[in-house]
Amino acid sequence: MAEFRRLSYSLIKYRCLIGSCPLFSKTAQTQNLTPCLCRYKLQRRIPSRYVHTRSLVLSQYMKSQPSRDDTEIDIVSEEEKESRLETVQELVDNEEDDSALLEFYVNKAQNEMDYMDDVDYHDIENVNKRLFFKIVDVWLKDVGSAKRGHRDFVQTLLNSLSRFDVECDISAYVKLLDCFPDGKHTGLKRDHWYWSGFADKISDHLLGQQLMFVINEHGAIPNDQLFNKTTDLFGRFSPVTLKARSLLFWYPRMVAHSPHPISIADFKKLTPTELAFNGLRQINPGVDCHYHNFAVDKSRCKEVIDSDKIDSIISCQSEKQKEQLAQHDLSIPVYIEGPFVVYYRLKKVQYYVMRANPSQAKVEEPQNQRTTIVSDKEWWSQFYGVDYQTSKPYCGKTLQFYPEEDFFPTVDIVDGYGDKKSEEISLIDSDTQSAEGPVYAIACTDYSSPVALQSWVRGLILDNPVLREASVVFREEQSFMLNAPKDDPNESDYENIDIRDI
Amino acid sequence: MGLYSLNVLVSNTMRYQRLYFQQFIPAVALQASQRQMLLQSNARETVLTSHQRSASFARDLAAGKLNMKWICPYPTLKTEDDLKELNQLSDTVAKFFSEKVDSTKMDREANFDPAVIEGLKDMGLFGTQIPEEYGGLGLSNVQYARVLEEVSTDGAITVMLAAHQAIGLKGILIAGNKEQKEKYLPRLATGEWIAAFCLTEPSSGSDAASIQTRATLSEDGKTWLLNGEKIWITNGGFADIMTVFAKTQVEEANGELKDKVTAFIVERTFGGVTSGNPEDKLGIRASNTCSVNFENTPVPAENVLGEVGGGFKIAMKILNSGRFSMGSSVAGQLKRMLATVTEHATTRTQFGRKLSEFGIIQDKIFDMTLKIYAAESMAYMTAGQMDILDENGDPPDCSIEAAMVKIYSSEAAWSCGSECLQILGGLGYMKDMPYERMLRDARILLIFEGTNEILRLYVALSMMQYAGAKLQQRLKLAKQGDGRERWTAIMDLFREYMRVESSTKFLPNRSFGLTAPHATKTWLHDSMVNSGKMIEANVDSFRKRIYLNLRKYGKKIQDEQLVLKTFADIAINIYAMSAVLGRCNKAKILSLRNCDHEKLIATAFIKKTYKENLVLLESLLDPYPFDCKEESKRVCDAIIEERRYLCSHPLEVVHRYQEHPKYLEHLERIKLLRE
Repeated sequence: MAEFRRLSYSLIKYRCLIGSCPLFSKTAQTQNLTPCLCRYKLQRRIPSRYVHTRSLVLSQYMKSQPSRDDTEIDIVSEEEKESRLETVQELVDNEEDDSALLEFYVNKAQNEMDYMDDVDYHDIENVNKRLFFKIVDVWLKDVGSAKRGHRDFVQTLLNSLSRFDVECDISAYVKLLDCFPDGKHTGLKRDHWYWSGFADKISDHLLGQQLMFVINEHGAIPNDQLFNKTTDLFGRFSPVTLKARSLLFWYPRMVAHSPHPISIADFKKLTPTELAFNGLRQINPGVDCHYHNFAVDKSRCKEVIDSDKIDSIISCQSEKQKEQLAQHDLSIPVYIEGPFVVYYRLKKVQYYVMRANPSQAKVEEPQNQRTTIVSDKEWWSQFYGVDYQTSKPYCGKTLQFYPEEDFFPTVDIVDGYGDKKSEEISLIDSDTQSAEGPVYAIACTDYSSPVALQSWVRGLILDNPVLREASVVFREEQSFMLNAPKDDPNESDYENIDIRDI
Repeated sequence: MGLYSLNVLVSNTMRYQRLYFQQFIPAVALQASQRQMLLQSNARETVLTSHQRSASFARDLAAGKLNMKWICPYPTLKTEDDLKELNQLSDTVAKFFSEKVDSTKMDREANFDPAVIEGLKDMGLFGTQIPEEYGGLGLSNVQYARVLEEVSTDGAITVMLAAHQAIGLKGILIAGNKEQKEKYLPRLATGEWIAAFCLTEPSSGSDAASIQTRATLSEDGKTWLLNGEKIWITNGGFADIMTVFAKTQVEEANGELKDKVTAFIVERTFGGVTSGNPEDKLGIRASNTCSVNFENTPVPAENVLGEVGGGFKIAMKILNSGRFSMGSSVAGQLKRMLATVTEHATTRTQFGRKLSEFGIIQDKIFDMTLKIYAAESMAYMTAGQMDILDENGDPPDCSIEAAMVKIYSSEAAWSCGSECLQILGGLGYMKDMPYERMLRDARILLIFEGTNEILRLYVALSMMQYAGAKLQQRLKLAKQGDGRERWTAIMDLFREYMRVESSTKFLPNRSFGLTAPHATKTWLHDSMVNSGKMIEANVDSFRKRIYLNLRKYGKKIQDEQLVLKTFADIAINIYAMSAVLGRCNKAKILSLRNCDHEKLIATAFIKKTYKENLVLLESLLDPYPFDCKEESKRVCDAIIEERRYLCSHPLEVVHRYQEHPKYLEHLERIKLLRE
């Protein structure tokens, strides 16, 4: 069943190529593939006429490849059909269709490269990037103003962005938008909200949406050019433009949220040590932090960890933490607790905390709001409204003999009712704040034995002589998050998931 | 019929029998005292249910409710005979004032004519509100207001009488015990003794809680020793009895020692009381105003008014109850002025036409008429409400309404007086004519008995307090209440939010757009229905603004004085409108003399004030484009810092930055740096 789903996903994804596939006949389409398509139709309610038919441009470069006549195919037996289907699946999985189109244009672009391109692409230093732009230009020159077959081309280039190192470059995506046919009569543009409700040229719009999705995934920085071009091409109210707009809206906010943005490509290249550094920085932000990489004494440590894990201890300590540690009361032990877990983007990082207990821990008894214990005296005075000893009446509901001398009446409303902003902020109770003592340092490592952590303490002694005399207690606290998957569970299957189903 | 039905029958008959007997048993077995108790409890219940008093008009207004029970019926005297008596009294007073009192002379000499004082005593005007059992006239508030209309012919005498009975001896009436009343009131009623009210001090004017005069109890606990200075005491020079407020040390419930205000009845004969020289004043010159010094004045312990430490409340009660009377006295005086002014306008000719034919003059007369009518209506409506006692014999709390009357009438007196002078032209400015004296006399009305600014804050804050308490209750229920209670509260809040803050600002009412229900319609004469609608519209948007501003400022609204002032102005306007509506409604229904003329005045007044209110209400919106709060704050800050007018002279051409203090400061700093 899972395989069937996988097949259906991939077929949906490459459905634009189905019609043009030389190994794939009409009968095969009608007999075997309809279930998948039907399923798709039911889900999305898109009429079948929007599924692409073979495009002219594709047939041009496919001429060299062997093609079969319809009559020939009719004779083929069912067994043969099945075997052919398998090959189709392989073909689709291996992206050979893509590669055929791509290689054609890569070769063509490389052949046409000349000294004039140094002028045209003077601002692009990377050779691969240059090739990408050259390919698009060559294609545009080939197809003319009609730009037929643009869907295949854009899809192909979108799938192979990493080859040209343009994943994080927004200008590449803007360039891809040039490949869409523009003009009044293409039917792409939907300026009016009313027409935007009709599913005309749906596949172009879906492709545009995929483009936006990929931009988001790779963390390319959206700009106004992207938005303007999308608006010109698809219209103000089309879903593509809305997506571009949401990208533009969210990008600065996300950057403000995480002060050290990193692109997906860079993120994938991070070594475990760098990953740990980034994770620590995320927990303990600030420019005055000191980072140390302490080696672990492997001879004493029985644990063996993989090469892609952190095999040393990376410690992080700020100036204030150092001061606090210097003032540490030696009668209380220093605790090392962990391992805890923090996610840096999609990667999990394991860390330990060095801390002390709060010096004046307030342990308050939980008070039930409805019942409060009052003394006899209080009860008496509240119930009878007179003083307990002298039986002198109180003034009103206050527990005072004499009235307040205020000329102006006071307005009583719930605290903070006036300022609307305070509604959004939930206050932290004071008792939760003091439950945790001062944190002296944090460290990242994938070792979990106390023997390995000793080298951390030994390393910290150089900067913090107090640790020489203090007693350090190791407390193992297994976080439930440790059992969570190490990486993004979606990432491995990312290639096979159609964005339209998310 | 089976066994079952028989059983039922038997049990039923048993039950009826029991019920039947139960009816008679108590009647036979109850003791007389028990029956008495039963009757009493029934009586109390009926009283409580029939006389459940709602909060005062202004408080209801803050909650968005127009209390028509307050407006209708407009207060009248109980019988026609009462009215005749009252008219006789006021006629004699009017005759006395027109024949015997020479106000100009008294004003010039800054002293009362002893014959006039004697005449006042003979008429019993020193004890108008003292009950008849103590030798006074025992007038109700409405009757008192009517008499004051005539007394106000002379401002100085009005103030003297007010200081004597509206505040001077009011303390004894309100808080005095039986012995104190029997001892002092008979003599005060005849005018043998004259009373004064001593609260103001050099360091405390409006802020009454900050007085410095001190009273200490002697060791035997029988006498208090008074020490301190009081200033601007009306009748201070010759008063025999004084209500004096002083700080005394009391012990609170938690054992702390605190200073609280206590009221004392002090006789001049106690010793240690000295009066300063009479002050020379702008208006009410005949009245005696001077400082009073207390130096170790021994006051017996039984002369403490009310309780020790409860003086502040008494002071506030006295002042609050006295304010309403300004409305009628101002109206009386202005009515007389209006008569003379129209006389002048019809006789004097300019450019070949009578003054009364000029549109601008007519408009002035019209405006004055409206204001007089409004002040009169407000004063009598408030007085009438203050005469209605509850089951305990206490008058209702009309402090906000009384303050409103005071503010409105004092300002009307000042503006109408100056308009009168304007119509009279040069004639009014001359000392030979009485008009400048009347204007001078009117100026004090804006200042004493609580300045209008302070009273405006008081009015607005009291209303805010009520609205805030209501809102608080809703909020509390919405948070902590259970079940239906909670959901009703939430729905209420939501509805309020929808009406006030949502972008549509419109909720259809329950009539589904066919007819709008008007709460006032059923109470009113047909010709007044439209005016009623206008008031309702104002009340509705007033409520909305209150909600909006409470939500905007919360508790901090207490510091937003400009907002509070605007709220007070709107409330006063609405109160004036509804008083006018009630009075005119009564006139129309009874078809009184000149009721159509009254109707013209009333509708015109309500139209005008409605428009005025719309402008004020708009200024409370957020954001308000013509708001100049920011500018006013910055300009005032700059001027207060420099304490002078800062703009350059219009003829100046050179930029004299060398003179600017900021520049000089900067130079000094540079010098210091160089050194």
